[in-house]
Amino acid sequence: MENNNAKLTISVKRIFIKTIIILAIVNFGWIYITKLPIGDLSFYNILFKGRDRLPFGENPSKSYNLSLYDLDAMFASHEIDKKHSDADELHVVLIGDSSIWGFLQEPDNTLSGLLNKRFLDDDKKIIFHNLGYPSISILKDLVLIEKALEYEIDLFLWFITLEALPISEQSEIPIIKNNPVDVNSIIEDYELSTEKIEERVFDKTFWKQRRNISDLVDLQLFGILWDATGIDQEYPESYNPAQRDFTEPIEQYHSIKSDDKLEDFLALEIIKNGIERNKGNNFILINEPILISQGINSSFQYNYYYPRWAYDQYRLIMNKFTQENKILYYDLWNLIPEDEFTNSAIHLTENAENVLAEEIAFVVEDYIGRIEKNDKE
Amino acid sequence: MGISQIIFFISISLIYRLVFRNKGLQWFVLLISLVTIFWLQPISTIRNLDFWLPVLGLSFGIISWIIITKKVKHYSKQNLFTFITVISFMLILGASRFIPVIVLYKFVTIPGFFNILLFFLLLSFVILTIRLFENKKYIHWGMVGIISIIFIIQKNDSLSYEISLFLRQINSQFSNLASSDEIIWIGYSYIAFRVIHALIESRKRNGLEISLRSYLCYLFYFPAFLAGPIDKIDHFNAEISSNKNTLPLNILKAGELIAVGLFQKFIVADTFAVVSITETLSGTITSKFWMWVVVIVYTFRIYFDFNGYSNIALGISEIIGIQLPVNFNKPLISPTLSIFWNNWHITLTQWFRAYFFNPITRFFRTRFKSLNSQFILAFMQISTMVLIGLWHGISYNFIIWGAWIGVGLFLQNRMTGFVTKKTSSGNPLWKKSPIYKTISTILTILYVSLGWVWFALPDVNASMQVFNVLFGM
Repeated sequence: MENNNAKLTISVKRIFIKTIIILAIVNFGWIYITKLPIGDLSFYNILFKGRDRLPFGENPSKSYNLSLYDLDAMFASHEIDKKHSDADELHVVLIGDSSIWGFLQEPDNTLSGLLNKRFLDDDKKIIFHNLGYPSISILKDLVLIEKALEYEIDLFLWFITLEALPISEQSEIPIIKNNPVDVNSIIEDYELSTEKIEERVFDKTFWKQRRNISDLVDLQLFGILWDATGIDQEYPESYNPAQRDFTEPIEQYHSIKSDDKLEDFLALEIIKNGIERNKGNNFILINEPILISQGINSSFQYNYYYPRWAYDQYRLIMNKFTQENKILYYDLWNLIPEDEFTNSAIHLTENAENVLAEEIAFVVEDYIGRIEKNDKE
Repeated sequence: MGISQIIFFISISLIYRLVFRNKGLQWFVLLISLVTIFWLQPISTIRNLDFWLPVLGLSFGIISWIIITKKVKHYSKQNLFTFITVISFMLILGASRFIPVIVLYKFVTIPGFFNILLFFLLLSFVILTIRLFENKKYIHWGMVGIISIIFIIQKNDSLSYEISLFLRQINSQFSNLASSDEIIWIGYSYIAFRVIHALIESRKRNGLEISLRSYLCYLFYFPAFLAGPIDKIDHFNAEISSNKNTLPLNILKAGELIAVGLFQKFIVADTFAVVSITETLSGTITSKFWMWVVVIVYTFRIYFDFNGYSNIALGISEIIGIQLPVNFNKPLISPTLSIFWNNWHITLTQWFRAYFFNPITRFFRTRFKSLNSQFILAFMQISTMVLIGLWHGISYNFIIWGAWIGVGLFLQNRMTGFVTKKTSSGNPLWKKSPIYKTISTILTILYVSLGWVWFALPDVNASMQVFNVLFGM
């Protein structure tokens, strides 16, 4: 027994050392694994149906959905990744923020869901894909557009709002911060003046990536629940309605003063370069509807986000900018009445989604009509 | 038990084992267990309840030790010293409200010092009364009764609510905030099983020989405090009293057990938990296929969760050289329901077999000889499983779950008997070929999985909804 113990003492030390070495290899070896597109490995569109919108969820146990930042995995879980066999189909992608993603709306009642319903029996076979994502940043939109370009897309409907444009806010959202490689490559390719995201090798180690790895597994598991229930977000029984009354007028908008030149603070070059660089693709830019409050101090403030002076200036800037750059642009800012917003100045009720869908359907039909006319000529 | 608590227990056990080489093992276990019972008890919204419940548990420990030990000198130097240590620990904890920097102060809300002193006076009075009592038979069963009543209160929502209401009233707290969720006594189920086991064994053998220190270690043993296993008192006493020099062996085995346990609990079980049947899912899944998936996954989830914890407990215990009984022995590859239950939560099943199934069956067979033996078997199997169901909580669903398993056990027992008679070898069918064994194992898992539908959901309606989808009713 004594001898056995003596031998085992040595074994314990060896096991300890081996463990440390194996852990180090796994930890740092993961840096190379992160270069592989492991996010592409997905059961979505194979074992269970693809999601109608990109994965996002703040309360996974209730929404059967989660927020993760692996773009490959996000797209692999989306129905856009499904093989489309019909060559006659026209694929339209909707890009935008949480209002396009469809906050508080069931997948069928989001803008893309309603548009798909609207064109279901249409001869033109138009399929709308919801690539909205609940973060407001034009740079984020471009990252998703770049990723969507891997698929055969016929038309991009790019929904914007002023809140997505301030230069200072572009990189402040998790999906941007967590994708330094993709974002920096876009900044470089599109020659944007946006500051690059810091890339740290240590962030790619197994230890630092453990949350992301777990998210990838959870995304697959939630796929079962998504397919089984059709639920992909939490629908609370009640919510706080969007703010309509304001205690005092806001002097500044994102530290921009009313006498500043607003244009200088907006990342318009992202839209300009984004559309210019992808000339072979078709883009329509749409200024999305906002809540126009009639409440206290609404003469100074349209809603929680926008002082009137800033938003009015923004609309003028956008009209001028799109005309100068020959970008097809629709300004639908006041399309929806005040009481058709839910918990935010940009989130729409089901009725409002229907109204917007009708309007967008005209936009799309008009666009297709023009293309067909041009083709005939 | 969270990961931080597990790391603490592993670290402290390793440090003790490597530095002190098992010197003062019982003192180490007692001290850490004392800390554990206060630490793991969740902070209560009822004033000071998170202090009083562990104190009450310790008091039960001391009182039951006096009851179960006849041949031991209660006032021996060692027992007195243990008693003083336990009381001092509680008093120091009580006094720590005046020294806010003490770490323990953050674990529990401490009542007034005077209240604590008053409680100890009362405890001393109870101890003296019990010692004066000559006919200890009634005290034995009285103690079993008190423990069972508390058990029932804890497992029954409406009774827990009444207690919450009462405690709020005597504490001058808002009555309208009373809730059954406030009455949570962490580890009580396992303490109760151990105390009852000790009391019954003591009755059988006319008293046990165990020191107060060993006994308290047995009741509140920190690795097994939350999720078992339920060790036997003699086995545990022998383990904690022996001085083994098997450090490397222990560490190797412990490492394996803890690694497997952590993997099972925090990776496998927590992953399966995402797609296991829940109340919300029961009402939202309409697809038969996915409903079967979430129901079957629950079986794997509950196994890996529970077995993971058991392995962690066994591993931590192994570090300090105490071997606890195995609680799960590959139940998911059992070809029959009876083999499944012989390998699932083994120590609990053995407890019920020893203190309910066997004695009551013997009682029926000797007192009611005219009763059909098959009827007795069916009745006993169902009632034992219903009792185990009620141990998890007093609700219709747990009763149905118990009955479901009990009926299954009886039917499987009868069927095995019938088929065995028909086969030439006299062996059950599943022993004949691997194919039969595989089919039998799958059927067992399916039956067990359907049983969990009652277990996992809070009410009969939710469970019926699941069955409706599963069988398209």
